[in-house]
Amino acid sequence: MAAHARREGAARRAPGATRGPACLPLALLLLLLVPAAARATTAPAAPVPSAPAGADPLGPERLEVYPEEVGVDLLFSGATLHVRGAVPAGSDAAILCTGQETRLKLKRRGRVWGVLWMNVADVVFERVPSVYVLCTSVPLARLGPPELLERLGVGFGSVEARALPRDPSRDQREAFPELVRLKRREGLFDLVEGSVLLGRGERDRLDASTDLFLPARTPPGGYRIALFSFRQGEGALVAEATAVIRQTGVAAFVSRTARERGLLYGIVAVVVAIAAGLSTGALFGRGARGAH
Amino acid sequence: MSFSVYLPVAGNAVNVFLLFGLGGIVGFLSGLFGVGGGFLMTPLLMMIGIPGTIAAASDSNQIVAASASGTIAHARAGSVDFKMGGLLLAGGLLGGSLGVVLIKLLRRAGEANFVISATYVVMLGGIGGYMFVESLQGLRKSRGGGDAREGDLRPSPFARLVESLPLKVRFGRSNVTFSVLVPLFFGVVVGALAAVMGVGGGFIMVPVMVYLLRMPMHVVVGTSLFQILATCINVTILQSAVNHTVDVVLVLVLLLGSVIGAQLGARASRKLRADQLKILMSIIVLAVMVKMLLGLLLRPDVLVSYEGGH
Repeated sequence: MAAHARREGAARRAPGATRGPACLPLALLLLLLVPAAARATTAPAAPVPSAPAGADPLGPERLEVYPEEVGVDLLFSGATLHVRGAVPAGSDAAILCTGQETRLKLKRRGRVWGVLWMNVADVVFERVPSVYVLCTSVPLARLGPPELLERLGVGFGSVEARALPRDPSRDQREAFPELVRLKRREGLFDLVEGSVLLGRGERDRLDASTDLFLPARTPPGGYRIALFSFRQGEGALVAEATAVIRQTGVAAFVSRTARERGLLYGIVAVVVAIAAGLSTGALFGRGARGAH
Repeated sequence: MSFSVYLPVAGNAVNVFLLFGLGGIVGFLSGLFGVGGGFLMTPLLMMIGIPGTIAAASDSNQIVAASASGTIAHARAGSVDFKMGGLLLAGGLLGGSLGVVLIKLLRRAGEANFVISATYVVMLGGIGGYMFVESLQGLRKSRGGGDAREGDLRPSPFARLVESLPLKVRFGRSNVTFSVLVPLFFGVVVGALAAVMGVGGGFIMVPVMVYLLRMPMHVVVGTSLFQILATCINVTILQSAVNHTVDVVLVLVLLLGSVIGAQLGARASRKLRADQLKILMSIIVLAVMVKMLLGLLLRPDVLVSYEGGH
C-alpha cells in the first residue's frame, strides 16, 4: 500500500517554486520607481511553533513544516510547503492546510424567463476558510465514516457543515457545491488523494510526509497545518503547526501604499502613466520624422 | 522557468508576456479607433484571474497611458478638437454622476442586472449594426466613383432641431458649426450610459461624433482619445483614493504593451480610409455584442461568483 501511495504521490502535479527567475525588466523598472522599497528582504523565519498535545496515544508529536514563513514578492508564483510528521504504525494519514474562516457573500446565477443566465440572488456563508487543501494517503472514503471525518473537520463535507447554518436556505444548499467548484478551480480548495507518503519511522511509527501546494492567489496570513491518523474506523488529530504567508519587499510596499495612501498612490499612478504615454509618443514621433 | 509576475493588489500571479500582449492589442485598437478598450480589456483580465473591481480600476489607469500616447500622436497630426472634446467631457462628468444615481435607483427596484445587460446588448447591437451597414454603403459608393465623405448633409428633423438651438459656435478642427448645447447634451447621455454599463463609453461616443455631430473620422478618433484621457485620470484617482483597487504592477506591464500598440494604431488609423475604419470598428462592436449575448444565453461553468465582479 505504501508503494501505491508513493506512486500516486509522484504522479501529483509538479509543485511551483517559491521564487523563480522572471520578468527582470519589470523588476528593474519597479526598483527605479520605488527605491525606498528596493531593500526587498525575505522575512526572518519565525520560531518553530510548539506542537500542541495531540490526542494520539503515542503522545505529543511534532509536525515539521518547511518553510514556515513564505515571503511574497513580485516573483512569487505559489509556494510548496514540505510537511512531515509521524503516525502510529498501521494507520492511514491526512494532512490538512486551512486558512482563516471568513463570512463570504456570493452572487448566485440562475435562469430568468427560461433563457437568460443572470445573477439571481445573494448568498451568504458565515464561516468559509480562505484555503482548504487536504492531502491523504488513501482515497478519502477509506479513511473513516463520514461522521468521523466531519467531526475532525476533514473533507469538504465538514467545510459545508461549518459554512451552512442549522436551517440552510435552498439558495445556500444549491450554491455550496458551486462555491467548492469555484475555489477548486482557483486552487484554494483542493483534495489530493494518495499524496501523503507513509514510510518507516522511529519505533512503531510511520513517517507521514507531503508537499502542499499553495497557489499564487493564496491570501497572505496565517495557516494551520494539521496531521490526522486513521485506523479501523477511528481517527485523531496527531499534531498541528502553523505557516505564515506574508508580502515582502516591493509587493508589500505597493499594497501598503495603495491601502494607506490611496490619493497619493492614485496621483503617482496617473503621473507615471502619462509620462510613459508621452515619452513613447515622443519617441515614436521622432522615429516617424526620421523615416520620412 | 516561471515568467509570471505577482500583482500585489490583485493578490495573484499572471504571465508577463500574456499581459504585455493584451496591452499591445488593446492599445492598438485604442489608437486606431479612439476607444479606451475597457470593454475588451476588463473581461479579458477577469478571465485570467484578476478580480473584477481591480481589473476595471487598473484598466482605467492603463488607458491613461495609452490615450496620452494616442492623444499626442493625433494632436501632432492636428486631429484633436479640444473645444469639442472639452464640452463633451463637461457633459460626460455630469452624465456619469447621473448614471451612478440611476443605478442606485435600479438596484433598489431589483432590476439593475437585467437593465445593465439589456442596455449593453441593445446599444452594441444597434451601434455596430448601423455602422456596419452605413460604412458598407459608403465603401460601395466610393467604389462606384462617388466621393463618400462623412457629412453628406440630409436635412433630418434632428438637423433642423440642432439648427434652431442658440449659442452657436464654430468648431474649426471638426469643420462644423452648432450650439454648444449639442455636445454638452451628448456628453451627458453617453456619460450616463457609460456609468450604467460600467465602461468608459468610447465606443458609444465615437459613433455619436461620427453620425450625430458629423465630425470627420480622423478628428473623431483624436478628440475621443483626448476625452478618454481626462475621464480615466479622474477615475484612476477616485478608485485609488476610495476603493484602493488600482494595481500599479499590473498597470505597468499592461502599459508597456499598450503605449506601443497605441502608437502603431494611430499610424494605421491615418493610413486607412474612414469607411474602412468604421467597418472594422463595427465588426469589433458586433463581436463584443455577440459575446455578451452568449454570456447571457449559455450556462456558465460555475453558478456562483464573488461579489464585486460582474
